[in-house]
Amino acid sequence: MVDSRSQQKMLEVLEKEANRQFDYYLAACTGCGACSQACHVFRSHREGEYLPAYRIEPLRRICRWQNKAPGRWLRNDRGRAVERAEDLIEKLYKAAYTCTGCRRCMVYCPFGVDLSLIIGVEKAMLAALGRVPEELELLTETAIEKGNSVHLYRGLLRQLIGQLEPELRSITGLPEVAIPIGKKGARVLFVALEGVDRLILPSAIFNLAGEDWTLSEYEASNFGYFLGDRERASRIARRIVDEATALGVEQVAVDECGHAYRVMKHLCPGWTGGELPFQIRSVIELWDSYLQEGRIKIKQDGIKEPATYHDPCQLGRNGGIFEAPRAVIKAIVRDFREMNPNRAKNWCCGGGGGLIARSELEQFRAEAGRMKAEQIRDTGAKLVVAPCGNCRIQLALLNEYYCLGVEVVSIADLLVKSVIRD
Amino acid sequence: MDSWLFWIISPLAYTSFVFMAAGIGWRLWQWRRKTPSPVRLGIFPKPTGRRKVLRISLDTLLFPQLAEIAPAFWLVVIVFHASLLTVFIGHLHLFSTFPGTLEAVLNRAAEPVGGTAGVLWALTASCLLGRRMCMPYRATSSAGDYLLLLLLLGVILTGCLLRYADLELAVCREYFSSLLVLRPALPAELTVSPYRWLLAAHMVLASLLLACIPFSKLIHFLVAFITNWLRRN
Repeated sequence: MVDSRSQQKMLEVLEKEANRQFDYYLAACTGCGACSQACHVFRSHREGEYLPAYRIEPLRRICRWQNKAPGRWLRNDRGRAVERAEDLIEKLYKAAYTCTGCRRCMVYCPFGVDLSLIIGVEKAMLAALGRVPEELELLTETAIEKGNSVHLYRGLLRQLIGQLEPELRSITGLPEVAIPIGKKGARVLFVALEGVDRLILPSAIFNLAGEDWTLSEYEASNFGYFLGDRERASRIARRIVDEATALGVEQVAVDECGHAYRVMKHLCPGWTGGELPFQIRSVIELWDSYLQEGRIKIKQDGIKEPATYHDPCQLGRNGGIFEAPRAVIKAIVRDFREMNPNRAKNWCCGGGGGLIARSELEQFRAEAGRMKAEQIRDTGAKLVVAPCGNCRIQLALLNEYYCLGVEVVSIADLLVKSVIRD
Repeated sequence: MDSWLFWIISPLAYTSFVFMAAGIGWRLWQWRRKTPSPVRLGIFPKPTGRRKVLRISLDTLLFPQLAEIAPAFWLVVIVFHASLLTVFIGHLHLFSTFPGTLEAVLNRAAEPVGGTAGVLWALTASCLLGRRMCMPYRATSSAGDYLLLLLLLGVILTGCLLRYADLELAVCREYFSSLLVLRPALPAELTVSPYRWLLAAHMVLASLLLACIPFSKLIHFLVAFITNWLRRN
């Protein structure tokens, strides 16, 4: 039910979130629909409601009514409902949560309209009503809870790490390995994605490179960001900022994941107000520097299978990391093939925007990845390197759904497989 | 009195022009009042210095990336706006003569270039209207969009017809230049011309269109420069 109080709450959020850029973009979008050709969801589903510019129509209508009759935007002047509130909320929900936020439409739009900014406001309004995908809400709350009572997790994390050390020794071939936590004054604080794999592979690389590093107690993912909830997203990011400040590290290296890097590097400083006392890098840039400085060496014979690289949207066009991953891959792979188009114009895999966390969307995601699947097939590559965790899950789904017959790997996978152990 | 018609359309032209200018000013002021986003949300790679200015100008004026994904639409839109620009320049000639060779060029170009631009403008505007009637573009079109395009077509078609009206350019220039200096004068040739109705219709429709600019999607002509800058920032 959408009572007048919830309506009021939504309007307060709109008032707060609708900034200058929001107004510019609403004014600029003529609804020409050229974005239809840039969007993988529209191109694969061909339904009007997936037209990128259509995703902002419900909010456009709310703004128009709000201008005419403030506070009574669901009713016309005679007090009759213009549109059933529940219908409008459903439209908002579908518009906001079937977009992967890849911002490919922004590249091609003649005005450069950032639809994801407007969709973010739609999400924030929905959150005010409690209309959010449960999985994302749960993951967000868990992350915040962990930040509040990290001491409860500390013992568990140390225990897990102790168990990983033998495996780490066998991977690296080093007699002495370490996964330090809470090491003051370390050069690098590494923020990993969830999962044991994402602990052990990067740890192996750091040990082999002899890096002075320490592992963050927190995970890199930020589900608050997917909810369009700037406040909680910035609280989640803040945990890492506080940790890095307390340890006095020189740089924070964010795991290969796309949105995690973008949130830390490009959004967090603005949200939390001001410069951070450390540098934020993608861990891929760090690894690239190891190769350049000769701190790790790659086997000469390399990988012979044809390989291609998937630019994750949040890392590439939205994060600015294009060349470092290519440099690492080209150092390892003999037959490297670019996708077409690539870099800023790369097709989204279809798993962004938190869609991956929602199992009910699996069929939708599989279809939405058609452009990506065709793109991969056209390269003839057998190995698809994708740094972002979300992308890898989605690409694995596409691999199965479209029978691509490829192997999807991360950059850490590739590095650990090809590095020389003395 | 044959001049009563002009006592209506002259004030109308002034009103719509003032309304347009004030409306644009008001919108600019409203935008400046809002808090800007705390983060820079541009797309990478972000060029700097002179390359940034060049890139943004190209994005705003020619939007080449659109040609990659929708070449036919891009062509229509480019021809549409190029005709608009040509016709706009041609209309300057209604207010004043120009010095030296420029005057000669304008006089020579008026018939072939101006006439063609009018026809192309009408054709491309019809394309845009037709396109909006088809799915999926109907989904992002409102009644206002159709009305604006119909209004524009009205302006263009009456304008095209005026080209073939038996009205002396010098007579029209006398009227419009007097409008410009806020002292409307009415040449007798104009007030008794049988084509005065066509001219009045053209001016009324154009005035309405001008007045629509600040509060409709037509404002994109101005915001485009800002949003294109934001994309590369």
